[in-house]
This record gives sequence, structure tokens and C-alpha cells, in this order.
Amino acid sequence: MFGQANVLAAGQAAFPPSVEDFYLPSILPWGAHDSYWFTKITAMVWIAVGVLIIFFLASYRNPQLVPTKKQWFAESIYGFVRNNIAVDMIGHAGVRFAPYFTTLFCFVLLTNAFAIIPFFQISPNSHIAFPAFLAVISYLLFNYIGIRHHGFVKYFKNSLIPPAPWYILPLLIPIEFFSTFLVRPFSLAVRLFANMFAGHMLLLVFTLGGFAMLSANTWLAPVSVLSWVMTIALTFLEFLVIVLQAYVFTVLTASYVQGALAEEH
Amino acid sequence: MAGDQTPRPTGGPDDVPTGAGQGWTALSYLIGGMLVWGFIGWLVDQWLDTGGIATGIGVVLGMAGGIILVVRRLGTPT
Amino acid sequence: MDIAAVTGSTAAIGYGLAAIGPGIGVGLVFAAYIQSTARQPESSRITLPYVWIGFAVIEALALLGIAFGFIWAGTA
Repeated sequence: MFGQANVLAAGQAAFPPSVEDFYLPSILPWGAHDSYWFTKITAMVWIAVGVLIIFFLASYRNPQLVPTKKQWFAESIYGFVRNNIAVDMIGHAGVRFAPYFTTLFCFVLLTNAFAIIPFFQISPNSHIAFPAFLAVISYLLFNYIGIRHHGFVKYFKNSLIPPAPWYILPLLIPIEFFSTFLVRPFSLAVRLFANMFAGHMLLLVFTLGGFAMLSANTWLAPVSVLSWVMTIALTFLEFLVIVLQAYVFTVLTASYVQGALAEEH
Repeated sequence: MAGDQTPRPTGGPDDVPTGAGQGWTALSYLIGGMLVWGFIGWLVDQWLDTGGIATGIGVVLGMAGGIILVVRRLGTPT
Repeated sequence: MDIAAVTGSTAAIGYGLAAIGPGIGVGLVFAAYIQSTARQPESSRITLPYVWIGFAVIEALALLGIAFGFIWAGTA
């Protein structure tokens, strides 16, 4: 971030933005080349975890029957995830999963929200590693729940064998396998990653484009201002995408758990 | 009027995933069917050197399989 | 003698034309579902399976369009 600001001040903007703009400079060791293990991204993930732990601990420090404002806020978040996601998708047994889904929803929401918060301005989920690992956890979760509920052989028989006449089954079983065990984790991860990556790229294009036009030709100043107005409009759209993607990730995980728990025909 | 009366899943037998899960499932059956059988068709192509026909047949077969899966899994009223 | 000649990727033109029909079709299916749910909300769970049947069959053509666009890409 500091590097780009210096470049902009010198009158040349790094336009058009590319994937290289997602590789932030390393903080520890400071300014090292090709060392990415501790950058602003890592710090943001740790900050998100810390904020969530502290928030939920602090709001339940002295729970009252008539909730205080912070307690009410935390309870609303948990109530929303428990009622509208866990119980709606899985039924009564879903209450068991509500704590994990709340954590998942809040973590994805917070890390997504870093994309539009000043000074952070990039979401850790625009690096494929974080959505990938969250998707792997969801994948292990629904498979483990299914195997534990049905037994190993019965779970795979239920998920892989659709209700169809026996002579079409060889056509359908590879498709079922691919769709349930390969596409699901992949699409969970890529959906979140692509939305965050594209959102950040859009904001970069319009912001840096304004600077690029300004430094190319000062008569283009009104167009630059228009470009920056687009950035503001896109930030509002990005806010919508942030909340929606957090919700969709959690809802789909709940849906997969429900599918794993359901008896078959 | 009387609130949201869509029936909640009881977590018992025969529950289909509601809403968003069904949409993505339908799409993944269709695309997955084409990919899987298109890939198998392409392998047959490489093996028998038939120049693209097997891939095409595989894709169409996979598409048919995907449609059958969607109809059977998501299209039968509970 | 060529009366009219088109150069470039005709597969791209073919896919563009092939995407019109399914686009309208899927829109019709979901419009019907939304309207029927608006008229009688209790029917939404009953009609939802038919939405997916309709969507699958219509989307099949669109996806075949994109698949064959790639398969036939080389043959001008």
C-alpha cells in the first residue's frame, strides 16, 4: 500500500492492475522479496479471529435476562444463524451445528468486510488459500456427519445411487460422484474466492484508472472524478456481495450437512 | 399474512435440500454430467483415434444423464 | 461464387445465437414460479420440483451450445 501511494504521488499509476497487486509487501521481515508468510493479509486474519473471540466473550461476560445492547447484538447474530440457517435447512437437529455455523458466518463476513474497510482495503479471501481451507473443513464436516450417522457403506450408497432403473445407473453414478464429492468443495471455495477477487479488482481498476487518466492528461480530470464516483458506487455493491457471499457459504454448508443426514428413498 | 408458512424440514427421511442448495445441485449435475462423460469420451477418442466424435457423444450422454439425475432427485414431488 | 462470406470464428456466432432461446426459456420458468407463488404461497413447495425439471431441460441446450462451441471451434 505504501509502495503504490509513493508511485501515485510520483505521477505514474500502476495501471492496469494485475494479479501482482494482490501480493502485498511482507511485514516480517520488513520489505523482504518473495517472502509472503507474514503480510497484511496474515495480520488481517489474526485480527479477525481476535475480534470475534473478544466480541463474543465480552458480550457474554455477565449475561442478563433482559439483554444489554452488546449482548442483544451477539444474540441476534446467533439467533439469525440458528433460526434462519441451521434450523431452516437441517430441522431440529440443526441446533447442534449452530455454533459452528455462527463462527463460520461471522468469520467469512468479517474477512470479506475487510475489502471495504479503510486501511485494510483487501479481503484475505481474495487469496484462494483461505476459502479453500474453509471449504475443506465444510467438506470434511458433511462427510464425517454422514458417515457417522449412516455408517460408511450405507452413506456412500445413499449419496451415490440415485433412484433410477438399474440399467441407467452406470451412466449416473460417475456424475453423482463428481457432483457430490468433487464439485461441492471446489465450488464453495471458488465462489467465495472469485467474488472477493473480482470485487477487489473492480475497485482497483476504477481507483487507479482515475489516477492514470489524471496523470496522462489533466483535461481528463472530470472523467477521473466520474471514475472515482463509480468506485464509491461499487463499494456499496461490494457491501451487498460481502454479506451475500458469507450467507451463501454458510447456507450451502448447512444444506450439505442436511443432505448427508437425510435418509434416502 | 399469517407469516411465512413454508414447511420447515423435520430432519427426517426424504428431505430434499431447500432453496439455494437445490439450484446449485441442479447446475452441478448438468455441468458435471457433461464434464465427466465428455472426459470419458475424450479418453475413448485418444484410445480409438476417432477424431472428436466420441467426445461429442460423451457430452450428449452426460447431458442426458444430468437431466435424468435432476428429474429423479429434484423433480419428484415429495 | 460466394454470395456472402463470414470470416472469423463462426463458433462464437453460433454460441451467441444458441444462447438466446434458453435465456428466454429459463426466464419464463422462473417467472411462472414467482407468479404462482405470489398468487398462492402454499403451493411453492409443491411446484418447486417442476422448476428444476424445466430448468434442467432448458439449460441442457444452453450448455450443449457452449460445449459444442469448443468442440467445433477448429472447423471454421
